[in-house]
Amino acid sequence: MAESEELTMETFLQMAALQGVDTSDPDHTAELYASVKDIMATVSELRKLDLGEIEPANIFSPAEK
Amino acid sequence: MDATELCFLSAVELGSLIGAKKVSPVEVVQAHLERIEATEPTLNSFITRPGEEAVEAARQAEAEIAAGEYRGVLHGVPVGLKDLYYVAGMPNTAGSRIFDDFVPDHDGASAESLKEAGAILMGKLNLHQFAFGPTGHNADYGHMHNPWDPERVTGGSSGGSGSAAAAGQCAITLGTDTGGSIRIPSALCGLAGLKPTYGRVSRYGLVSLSWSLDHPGPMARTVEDCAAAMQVLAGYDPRDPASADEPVPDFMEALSEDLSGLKIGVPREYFEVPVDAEVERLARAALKSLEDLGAEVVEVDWPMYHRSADISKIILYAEAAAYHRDLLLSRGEEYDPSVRWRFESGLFISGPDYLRALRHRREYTESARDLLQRVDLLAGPMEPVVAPLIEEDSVPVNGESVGVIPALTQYTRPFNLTGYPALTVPCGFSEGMPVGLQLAARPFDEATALRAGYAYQQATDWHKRRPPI
Repeated sequence: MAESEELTMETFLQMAALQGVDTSDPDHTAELYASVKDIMATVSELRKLDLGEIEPANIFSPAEK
Repeated sequence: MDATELCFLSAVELGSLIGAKKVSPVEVVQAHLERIEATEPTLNSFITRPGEEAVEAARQAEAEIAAGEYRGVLHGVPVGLKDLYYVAGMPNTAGSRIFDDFVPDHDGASAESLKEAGAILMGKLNLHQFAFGPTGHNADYGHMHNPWDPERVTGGSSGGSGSAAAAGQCAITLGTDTGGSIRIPSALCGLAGLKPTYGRVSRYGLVSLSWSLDHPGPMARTVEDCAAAMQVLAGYDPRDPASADEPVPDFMEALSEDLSGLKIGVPREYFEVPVDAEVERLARAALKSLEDLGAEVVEVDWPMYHRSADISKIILYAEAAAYHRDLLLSRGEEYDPSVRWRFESGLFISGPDYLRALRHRREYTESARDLLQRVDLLAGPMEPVVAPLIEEDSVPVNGESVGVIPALTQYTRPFNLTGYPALTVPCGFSEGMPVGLQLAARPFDEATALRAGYAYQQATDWHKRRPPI
């Protein structure tokens, strides 16, 4: 999905099906759809920011005690 | 001494009376049981209430002390644990009926440490379901109620830990803080609450919400009690992969130092977000008090502050969904609906976007590290508002409507992201409800935050006020 593209209900339902999420309850599905759109908007905001060469803060240490 | 008076002594005061054999642990526990009996119908702090085993443990403590085997300041003192902490033989629901029948056969690290210290475990405390929410709502076990006004939320997710300590049901409680869940209920219920450095207190035997953001820690009416609890809880534990092998200071000893030479930074950005005018006035008055006590208070710039909500949301939702995925897909309809869709939302975050958030996290943490090379503490309001009404989804802030969840987490998230320690301490009342001041420190320097909070409590009496219940 392009970054500027709004998440449509159709795309959302396809993604939900791939994840195995139950969308049979319309009230629950509406809440989840709104929340996922909000998450996607947050993701888009973070994608706009330049991170240069910064590595993720998830160091794996093979020498853990 | 009157039973209610016993319940409002601090843990350290109780411990010293118990150690001197001026009061017996049995008397203390029975006073707290009576207090629970009287206040629980209003507060709903507990999921598993203490039973005969608490009295039995108190009898054992009494016998040990009589035999000269005094274990220290928490010996015989009643403590409560959020219902995410494993205690052998006690149900561990995580705030969901799904786990009504789950009874761990072993103690988690914190229960183990508290038992070794001789503390009396007073049951398991209510929470926002699976710790995923900052208000203290719980559809399965009933909402938690604020002792200062039962129509208002306790804050969450450690809401039962907040109401129990504030109302004198327990002397010390433990919460967990993934997006503010120790500091929010502590501030809204008028307590001191410490989110220690990530890795300082073991997460072994704790139901996770977000592996990299979860922080266990103490809540109590005084900063001194938080220090006493930290002395028992802190330390390296190889059973927790994130546990830090760092030296543990003498937290109690650190309280005795004055504030001269301490430099406190106040980020300008804290006041660029919605904050109630009276809350801001109280926080600034508290900062002035710290200045009067010898600290230097300076304004600082922290532009990155504004990114904390977005970064932590992606990390929290992705990790929470990863932890819950199998249960969500098999028993999703048994979750509280408002919690369920939050967990499921995390399933839609891609791997690259999660890793991008972790790259932002590193940059964010570096910005905090730079700032804390110039000052010893970062300070500001703990919450922008007092406890909202239970039915409210949004709150008015200076005439503007703001969502309850973003409002309650706007000052907490930076220190879950960085993992740096942060303490809240009561600094006044607005509309009859408590207001908190947040003091955040360098990694593994809880002692400095505790020292400042303790000095502030010696100069003020906010923590001595009692809720009307």
